[in-house]
Amino acid sequence: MKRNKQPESKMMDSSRRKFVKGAALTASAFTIVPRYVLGGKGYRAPSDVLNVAGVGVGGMGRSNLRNMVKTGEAKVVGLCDVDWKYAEKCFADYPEAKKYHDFREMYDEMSNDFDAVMIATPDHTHAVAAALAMKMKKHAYIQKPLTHSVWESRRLRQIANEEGVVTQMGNQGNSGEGIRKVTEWIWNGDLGSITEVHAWTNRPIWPQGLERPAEKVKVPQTLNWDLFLGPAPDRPYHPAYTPWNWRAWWDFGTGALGDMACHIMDPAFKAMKFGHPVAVEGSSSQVNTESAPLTEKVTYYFPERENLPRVAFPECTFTWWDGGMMPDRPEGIEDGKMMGDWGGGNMFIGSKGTLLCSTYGANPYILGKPDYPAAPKIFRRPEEDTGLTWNEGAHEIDWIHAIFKNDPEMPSSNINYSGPLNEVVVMGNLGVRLQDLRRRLMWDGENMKITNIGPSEEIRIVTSDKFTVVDGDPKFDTQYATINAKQAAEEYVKHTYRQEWQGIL
Amino acid sequence: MNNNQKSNGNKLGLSRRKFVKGAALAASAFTIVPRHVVGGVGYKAPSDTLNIAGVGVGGMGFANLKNMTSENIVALCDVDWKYAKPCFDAFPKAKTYWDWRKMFDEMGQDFDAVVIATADHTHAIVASQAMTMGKHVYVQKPLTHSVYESRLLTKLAAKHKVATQMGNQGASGEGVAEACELIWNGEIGEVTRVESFTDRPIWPQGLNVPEQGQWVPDTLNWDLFIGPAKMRPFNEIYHPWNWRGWWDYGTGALGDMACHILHPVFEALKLGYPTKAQGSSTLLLTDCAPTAQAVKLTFPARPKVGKVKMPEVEVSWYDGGIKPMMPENWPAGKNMNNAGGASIFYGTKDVLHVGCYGRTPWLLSGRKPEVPKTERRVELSHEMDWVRACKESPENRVPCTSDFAEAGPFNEMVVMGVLAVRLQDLNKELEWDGENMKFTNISDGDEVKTVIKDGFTIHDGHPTFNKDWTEPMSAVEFSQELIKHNYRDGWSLPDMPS
Repeated sequence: MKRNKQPESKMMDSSRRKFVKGAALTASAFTIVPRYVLGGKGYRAPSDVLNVAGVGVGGMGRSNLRNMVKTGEAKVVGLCDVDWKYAEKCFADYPEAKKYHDFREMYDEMSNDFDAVMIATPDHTHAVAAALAMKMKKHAYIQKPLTHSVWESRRLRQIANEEGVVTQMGNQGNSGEGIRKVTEWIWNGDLGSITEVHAWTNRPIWPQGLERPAEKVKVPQTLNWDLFLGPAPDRPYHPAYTPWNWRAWWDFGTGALGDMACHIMDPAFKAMKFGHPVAVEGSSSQVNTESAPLTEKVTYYFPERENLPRVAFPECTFTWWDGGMMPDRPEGIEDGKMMGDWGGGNMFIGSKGTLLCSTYGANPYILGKPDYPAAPKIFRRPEEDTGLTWNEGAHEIDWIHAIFKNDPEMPSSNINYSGPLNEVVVMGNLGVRLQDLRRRLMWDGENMKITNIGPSEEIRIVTSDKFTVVDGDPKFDTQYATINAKQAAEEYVKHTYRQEWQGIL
Repeated sequence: MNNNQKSNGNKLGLSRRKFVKGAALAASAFTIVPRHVVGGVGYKAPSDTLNIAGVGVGGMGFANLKNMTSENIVALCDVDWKYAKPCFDAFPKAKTYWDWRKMFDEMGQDFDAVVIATADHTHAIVASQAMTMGKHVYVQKPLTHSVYESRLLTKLAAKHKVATQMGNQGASGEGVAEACELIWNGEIGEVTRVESFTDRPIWPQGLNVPEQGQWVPDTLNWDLFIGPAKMRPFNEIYHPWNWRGWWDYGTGALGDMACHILHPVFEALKLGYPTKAQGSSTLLLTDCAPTAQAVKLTFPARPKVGKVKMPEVEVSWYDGGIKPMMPENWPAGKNMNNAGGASIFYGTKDVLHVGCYGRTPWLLSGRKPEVPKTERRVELSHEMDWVRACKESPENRVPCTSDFAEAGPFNEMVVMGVLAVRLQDLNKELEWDGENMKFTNISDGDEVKTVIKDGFTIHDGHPTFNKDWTEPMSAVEFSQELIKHNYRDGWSLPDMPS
């Protein structure tokens, strides 16, 4: 690592956090001194401006960076994307930032010049990009889903804690008022004991259930396909994968769960203190080896959790619905009122009441109690602290402030919270992809293992499904792959990376 | 139309009918004289051989007729003579028609019974007309396309005292009888929840309407295919075969499979009319059924069956691959899907799992109780049981296993699922007055809209989610149209018997 060759970097690496703190104190004592005058020659300046490097900046990453710089507390110093055409707009936003295709190269060359990374690549590269940065003691803002697999979530959390870095998953609703209210109401005991929770989304509203394209397409000059693949198995380029629609493909994305469950499961996970489920069960429209299905339903079984003073947490089922399917409307909901909002919502069915909220935990209400009096506030409000709404920067800026305060626990979706949440999110795909086992999959959360698959059990998964009508007669040509279920499960839990990407985590 | 008239007249129409008659008469000279020939036109033989006409014979209709070859298949009608050719060839003595109205007109005296296996939207108009003429009818499932049509067929069947059968052949299987006997013997206690599912559709649904029509093949009379529905340009995406996914002609996965899968539920629990309905689905389009649906119907308490109470029950339906949660203690590895789907009855004493067509009922407790066999077992096929009933006098007739007295109200349950899905935009659990075929909680001001076209595209890596929506429509009018369709000019149903 180059950084070790440069003397000033040592200070930056080992004592930056102290320095930041010191600078903040100084600033508070002598408020009128402009920060930039503090630094002399060769001295890396303005200390309460966070230098951020962006990895994956063509889509959500661009919005996250915009939110990070809007208060003047962060500066974008490096930008990395495998697709320079898709990243063009973001590159133009920060003309002074250095540009890269390969985050490894950026980290290497700029190790002294950035304090934190913002990662918004496709799901399958979140973990490697974050782990490498964290190991350099860089703080990390990581788009949702935190990682592509259960194991990556677990391992990334371990690394973050070892390195003491400040983290935030990009489920921005987590910094909003809604999720706090939901949690405070439930913890106040107003719904009684809750044994059934639902979460749903209308996503995917893009094509899924796709088969691997057969045609050969030349890789655009502006795209580094090998870097896009990253740790995933090699496959030929096709525009169906990137930009944008990678979410539909198992090797790169996690379907509707990965897109929306980090938002929509979030209030349930927090308020219900879910932790590891003991079992999961999924069904869906046709599931194939390549692409997430058009619609899914996954039920998680959570064991009893420790009670709080005002509420007990007995065994609870938590059901996820995507693709437009919805749980039944509860008794007592007003006619004409949509459950949640266009994007989805949550429903908590308790012994004393039913609570509904919209996507991102927004607009919670208890059925029959429209003017519900606020329960005691337990949680800090990042929106109040930052003066920004959850969707306009509170989530990013709160992370930046936590870095300044050197407080890894401060961002409300820090990895000790979002890691376990994300494990539940991506476990949904285990339920869906292993549904041919036709059983409730028993889960040993501690050891990340499904415990009720025999070593030689096999499942069939569709590889191709050609439907045609020939002279009025339907022809169903459905091809299957038969695979060992236990090995498949292990691979879904912990992916085998391509050679050059092994060892990063 | 010219094409059709041409081929009808010149190739296969009038001359063909004459030819068939000639051939039959010729044959009679040398062999045992078939009864229908002896009498000639206008004479109805007092025979033990039934004269059957088929309407819609390219697909399931052909399969049904093949199970009736002991009878005289005297006439065949199809709007698509290419699709129907194998059936026409199999019954060379039958007269062939494009238009069932013409067939009924010309051959009204020559057949006793009709097998109807057209697209869903024309079941009712054909069957109602046939029954009005005193013909027995075998109608493929779903019995009808709308609630009103089901009610009409139920009442016409009673009025005209004809033998009727809906083509849910599982009704004549052992399993449905066994499931009923288990429940009526109190083996699972009182049932308050049933969950059913199918893996269909396994064909394309959720499709945008084709931008362009296609030339109508010479062998198809598109106008007659459309029948009472609204005219639209032909496209092979609608016909042959794939009409099931299009609301104007089909009823989606419910229409295809619910008549098989929910049948033991309706019969064993003696359901009648639901009081509440709600539904959700993947993207709901104006014209094409969604790829997956969820429906919940609530039925009020019914009179006891023997000693078994029949309390209010909720029946949930999932299709498109979505399944109910497995019951506790479900045997690991066992497929919940038996032959296309299943129903799970949750009783106070046990859980009963029944496959599609009523297959293999079994109790999750593992018990195999001996229960009285109270239900008739059909020795013959579903089709031949109907043939048997056709030959019995109304006074002495043993009803078919899916006669319209049951299949009519049952089919209303099935198409109620379609209503729940198509009215989901109302965001309410619909309350249903079954007697009067009206939703009681749709108000004059309520509006619905649906997506005409899903215009999702990716440009330069950025998605656009353009959706063309209908204008907001009056929910009252829209729901009334779904309950009772307004037929195209020139097509009408007989009046509803009082």
